[in-house]
Amino acid sequence: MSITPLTSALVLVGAVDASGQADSMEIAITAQNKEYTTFGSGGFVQQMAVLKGGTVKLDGFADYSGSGVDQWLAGQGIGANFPVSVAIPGTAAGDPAHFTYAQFESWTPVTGKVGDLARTPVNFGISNGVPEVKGLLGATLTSRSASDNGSAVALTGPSASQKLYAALHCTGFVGGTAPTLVVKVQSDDNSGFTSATDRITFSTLNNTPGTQFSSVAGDFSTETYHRASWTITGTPTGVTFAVFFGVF
Amino acid sequence: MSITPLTGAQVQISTTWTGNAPGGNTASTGTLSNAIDISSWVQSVEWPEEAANLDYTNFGSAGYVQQTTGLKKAMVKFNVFQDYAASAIDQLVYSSPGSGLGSTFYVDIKPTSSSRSATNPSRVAQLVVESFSPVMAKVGELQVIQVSWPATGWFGRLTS
Repeated sequence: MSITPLTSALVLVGAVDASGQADSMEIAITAQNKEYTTFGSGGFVQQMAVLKGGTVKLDGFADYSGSGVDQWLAGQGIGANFPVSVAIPGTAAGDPAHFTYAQFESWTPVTGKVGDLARTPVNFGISNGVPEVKGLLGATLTSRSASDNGSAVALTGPSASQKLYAALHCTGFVGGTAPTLVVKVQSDDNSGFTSATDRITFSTLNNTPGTQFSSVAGDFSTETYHRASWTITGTPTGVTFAVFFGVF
Repeated sequence: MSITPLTGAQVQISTTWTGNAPGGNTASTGTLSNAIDISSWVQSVEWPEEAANLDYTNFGSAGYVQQTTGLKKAMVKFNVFQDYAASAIDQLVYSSPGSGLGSTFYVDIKPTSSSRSATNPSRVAQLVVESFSPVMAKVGELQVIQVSWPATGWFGRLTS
């Protein structure tokens, strides 16, 4: 058991690392409850959950810098859709995570009195027909300069009625000559990945930060390990990215 | 009389039941199968039951309101400490036993972890996971998630 205070988390909003700004977050998922009580219900209300949705709320200190949350969100615009992911504490592959393909619903880019630290609360909806996924951090947010494979993470693949979901958050390219990044999520039935299978391949990022969300249907439930795998070209000094994956 | 503080209540959940399970249209008997004890994550529990109040006052009621009860319902509320460790509360809600939002599971709550009896009765129900907040905290705080899950079908008190 591990009940601990939430002191550290990796919070990624699209192509921006918001961990250094956010000091409060909430992911709430809900299902509409529908009643089907009949004369045969024995006098008790009978009900079931139907349509599902949810919200993601982040609050924290405003960052108006060129690479900050404010510029990135303003560039996307209200109504845009992109991955929002959180891993706790987010320092190692395999850390527990929750992520989704969120819709940017509202925000308050400027709020505060004179002398206050400016804050920026942001609200997202989970309503794109995509679930909120409980998953794992596949690759930490780290600057990498060469192609490689990430750590094997124990995760059973989806059954026939499930999907493997993955989110890629690339926050920066530095140096190199027309560098590119291609990230895959692979599965295998052993932690040594002696027979790795590509399950999700994200689109190539060409010297520009970006974010993607993808999924693939099961059944590959005999596979019990997953990992991120990446190919970097153009010899950059570093490409910073993180990968999340999970089964739902 | 035995008025005691609730210090060691036991809260168990499962998706399977041996006997006549709660959630149907008849009184339940039996017990949870493959019960998972979540007591160590539960900070508080509230189990309000109510029946719809139906007024049938008429001109023959001699000036008094006459009423009876209709459909019964319950909304079980927990304050739960979030825990992302393997087989802990986050994983239990999402993958086992409930398979996440919209799923149902059986709950059995007793005042103590002793066997069910007339002095240690179980409250049992089939609950619908209609909401959950897997992440909800300010930096530095413990994540205490407040959930309110309605019962569907029969719920009640068992002493054996």
